[in-house]
Amino acid sequence: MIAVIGLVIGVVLGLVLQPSVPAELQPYLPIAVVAALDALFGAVRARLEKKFDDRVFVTSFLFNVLVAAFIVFLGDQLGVGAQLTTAVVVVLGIRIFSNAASIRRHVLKA
Amino acid sequence: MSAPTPESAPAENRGRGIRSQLLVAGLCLLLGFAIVTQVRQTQGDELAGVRQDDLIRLAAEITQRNEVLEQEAAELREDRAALLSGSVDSRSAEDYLEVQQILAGTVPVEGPGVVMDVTGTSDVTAQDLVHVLEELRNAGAEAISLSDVRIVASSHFVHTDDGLAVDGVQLEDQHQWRIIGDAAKIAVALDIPGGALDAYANQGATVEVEERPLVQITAIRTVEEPEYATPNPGEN
Repeated sequence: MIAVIGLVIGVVLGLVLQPSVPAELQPYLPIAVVAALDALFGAVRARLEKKFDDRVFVTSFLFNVLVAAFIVFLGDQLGVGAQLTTAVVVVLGIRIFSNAASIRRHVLKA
Repeated sequence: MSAPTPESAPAENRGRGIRSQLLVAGLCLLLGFAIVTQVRQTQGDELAGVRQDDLIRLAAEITQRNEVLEQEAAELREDRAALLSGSVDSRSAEDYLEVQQILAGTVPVEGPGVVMDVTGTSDVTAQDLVHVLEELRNAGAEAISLSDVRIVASSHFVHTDDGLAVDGVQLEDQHQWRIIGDAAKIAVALDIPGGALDAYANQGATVEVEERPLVQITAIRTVEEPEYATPNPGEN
């Protein structure tokens, strides 16, 4: 519950403060958001499977974000930034979908 | 989808549980913040999400387009200036008329060119004459006559029982081309292998080509009023 409240507060803060993204971070923020979403879905799934561990969530959250950003950074250095960004989004998207499927099975029992 | 219901942490872990729950909440807060920020960024400026390479390409395209438009603007300004000064306008109209008269063959013309006498043309076909005419036009001939018949856009060659006819005028056993244009160029063009002179030679005709500083073409055409075609006032 506290996590949901945190999420809501974050959204409200974003709307109120209206921050602008620093230019150096602009390529990485979207990919970091997708990576964090993956961690979040994984956490919800673990919760429903009653094996949620906040340490795992925190580390996977941070690690996902860092790895995703690093891959994009590496891609930019190698000149294949756009393609690697797509690759990361595809992989994370697949994971989010499979997690969402598990969540659906738990919540809807179907 | 309902939010996950909070579970009470095991008693021995409660202290750590609250701390890490706050950590989880903090991360979620960060995530919500980042999502909103990114969404606003994407909506706020359509170029913000574009990568550097694409931006460079876009800039190059815009620069190129700009150059084209500037060039066009300069041309249009020139046109406008020309149209505003009436003298230029009427002079260019006269030039235009002259060009049209020469093309249509309604005026006698003179200038440097080539005179080509052909004898022994009994086996020459209308196809050969078309071939020669095409060679002449390719070589840049500006005015052409064949045995005192001015050759224009509507000219035609016919093979009749009595021999060749051009625009309804019967040709004798010999004929003469008078061509105005770049004499050297035309002479070379006629002489290329498989060209006009070869075509004549294949039919047993004898050709004499003479480059002249002044060729006069006195044969003219009368232009008939077009029956069906009228200028489109919308264009021009």
